[in-house]
Amino acid sequence: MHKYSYKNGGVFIWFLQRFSGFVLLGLLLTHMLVEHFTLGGHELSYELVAKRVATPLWKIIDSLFLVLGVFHGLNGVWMIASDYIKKDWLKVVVVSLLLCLAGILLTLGLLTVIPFKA
Amino acid sequence: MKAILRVKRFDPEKDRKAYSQDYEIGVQEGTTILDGLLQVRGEQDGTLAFRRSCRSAICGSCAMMINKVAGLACYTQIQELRSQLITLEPLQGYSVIRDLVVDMEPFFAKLKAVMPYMVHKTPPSDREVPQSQEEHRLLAEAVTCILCGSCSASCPRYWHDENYLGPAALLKAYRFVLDSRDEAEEERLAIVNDPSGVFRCRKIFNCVEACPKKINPTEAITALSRKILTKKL
Ligand code: SF4
Ligand code: FES
Repeated sequence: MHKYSYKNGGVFIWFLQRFSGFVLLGLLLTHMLVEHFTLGGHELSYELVAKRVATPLWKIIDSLFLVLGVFHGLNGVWMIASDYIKKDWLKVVVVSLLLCLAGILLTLGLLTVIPFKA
Repeated sequence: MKAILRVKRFDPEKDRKAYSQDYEIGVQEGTTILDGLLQVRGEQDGTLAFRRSCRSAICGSCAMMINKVAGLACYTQIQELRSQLITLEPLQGYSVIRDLVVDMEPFFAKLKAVMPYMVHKTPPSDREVPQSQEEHRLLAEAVTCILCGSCSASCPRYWHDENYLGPAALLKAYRFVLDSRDEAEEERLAIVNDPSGVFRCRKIFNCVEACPKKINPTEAITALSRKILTKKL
């Protein structure tokens, strides 16, 4: 029988998943409010958004959004997948694929967000 | 009134595959599923296998899937089910020994893994170890578990992972972790922190719905998770 004990069962990932969920919710609400209710009568336009997105504060917010979103989403996928995948080698394959995907999404996203100029 | 019990049957010595068999039974007010099964075994088919002992929802041996939901046969009244046709199947997630009798060994092995007994490390005194009413109130719900296995049989995580400790064993761990007289919190938390422990719970809440004693194992699991987290931080 499986020997239960003394290995880490993933308490930090468990906590981070919940924590990132809350922060994402806050970020999402902020995003919605800013995007839809603070235009001050202006039409929503590329110039308007670009000016905002080019400021350091929004670069931080958007990067946070990206990092937490990628973590929360892909970790969720892994949690579900790990419930049903029994073979160890397949677990390794799936984790590697998800990590690659995370790497690609983060690189592309950060390359867009950080150097952005209006 | 009449009702049909559609029982899933399997005898490993004769059958290659499980099959269903219908039995018509007479139902009165208060007739339970177990009464029906006893009627069948007494009057129609002596080969039907199922477990029962106390007949009063206290021994936990008669749990089975009743219309696809785990519950106690002796506690479920047929009229309350509001259907004439009742399917009876062995507990899901356990291997079948015969008909409605399942192998409870893995279930009890997991229970043993969480040390389901009081550990007292300080030298015994010549007095009893008292507990206040408040301290006892924390355990009042958890101690009523009768180990029927319905909760684990309703848990999709339990069906798919033979190592997952499952709601009943985790509830038992919680019961001792909360007990003011117990002195093995560290060890027990380490055990339920195993990769097959509390963090595999997906908060599906099926166990809460299934429990005939109205216990909330999901809450116990979450409380254990929080305890582990605060210890690590
Ligand atoms: S918690 Fe409820 S369903 Fe689970 S074993 Fe105990 S009594 Fe049965
Ligand atoms: S026969 Fe004991 S719980 Fe049903």
